Amino acid sequence: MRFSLVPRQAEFYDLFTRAGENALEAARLVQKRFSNIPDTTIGQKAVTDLEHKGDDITAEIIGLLNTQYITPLDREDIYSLASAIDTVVDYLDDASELIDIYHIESPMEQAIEQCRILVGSTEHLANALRGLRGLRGVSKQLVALKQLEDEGDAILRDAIGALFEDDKVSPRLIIQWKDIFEALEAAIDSAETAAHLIGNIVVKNS
Amino acid sequence: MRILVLAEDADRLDSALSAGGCEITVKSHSGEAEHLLLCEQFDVIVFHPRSDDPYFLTRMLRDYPGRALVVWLRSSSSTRVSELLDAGADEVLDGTMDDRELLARVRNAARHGRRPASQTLELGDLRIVSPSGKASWREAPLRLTKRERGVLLALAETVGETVPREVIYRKVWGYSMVRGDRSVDVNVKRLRDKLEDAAELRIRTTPGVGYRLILQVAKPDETPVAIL
Repeated sequence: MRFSLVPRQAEFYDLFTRAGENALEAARLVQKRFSNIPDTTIGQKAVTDLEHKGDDITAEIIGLLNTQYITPLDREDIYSLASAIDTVVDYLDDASELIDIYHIESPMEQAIEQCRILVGSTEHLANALRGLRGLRGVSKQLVALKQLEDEGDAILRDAIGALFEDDKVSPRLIIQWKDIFEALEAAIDSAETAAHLIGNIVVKNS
Repeated sequence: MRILVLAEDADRLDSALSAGGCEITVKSHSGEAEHLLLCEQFDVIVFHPRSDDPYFLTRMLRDYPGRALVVWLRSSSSTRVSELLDAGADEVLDGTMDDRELLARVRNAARHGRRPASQTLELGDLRIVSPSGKASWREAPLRLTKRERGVLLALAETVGETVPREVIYRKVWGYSMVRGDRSVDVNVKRLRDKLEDAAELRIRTTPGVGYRLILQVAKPDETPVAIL
């Protein structure tokens, strides 16, 4: 492998922007899937396609990192951030897949609320990634994302509590929805993890 | 008389009822019993209700309407027995009864407790035959799923009155509804779509509570009038 001495710094920022937009698109798709159960117009394949697209972008970032002598951010930060954005889309894909695996027949309001948080979080994440080049307005996006993540925690507690409010609830339904609520929360948490990494990059580079 | 006993540790029942010439099949696993009930005909189902599943009897009544349902308790109380009879059980047996009494009560349940295997509900031009679930509108078949049919029947029991979502859910799904579950709403939406042509039947939403079925009659050359 050869290191390039001609800096291609702008490409890193473009790739991060694309990765953020891809995560946002995946979150919107997952939101539609959860809101429109049992309508299967938007199938899991559409989400999985975005997950593969995310993998490709991550591979491009790592490939570029391996060929560049000079990078705009610390090498380990670029690697960690690319992996963290990839994880967001992975978790979105996992959560969405459970609709089919568990043969879910109807939506649950709490899951729709979690999807609203997910779309909001990935929107702030995408904005923060877009602003990474000049570090403009990034902190504001990260604060908003953190607030949404706190809201997501409260929704998860309420959602799981609802499953156990009555001892005559179908055990099958408890198993299905507890898994789904936790999978959606994992996706929300992964967006926050990516936000923490961006926060560290901002501190180092400002 | 063919009897399905759905209980663990059913030796006592088995010996008492077999001695009376009944053909007994004992199953301890509800999945196996469900399979048998689909494939074979039984006159009486004797089962031991699980304490953690209070809607078991409701589901049995819903799913097996043509059979006498007899509850077997190892020990009982007047409160428990009256609850079970009020909930629809045809007979309640307990461990203090001797073999002759057990047999006599099961025979009595088989004679008197058998419900009609088929009931037809007619609302205007809508016709639903249960338990087969065949539904038709002006004799044209309507393709309703088991859940949709259940929701429609739950609403049809009290035409014109609001039925809370939780009550519909309990009747159709046989469990308590979880807060936030949209199952009833989804099935009502599908029903509305499928009953679009049935102008005299409308499912109205009572916000925050549930749904009610409205039946309208139309005289020739008149606007339909809600009668229920």
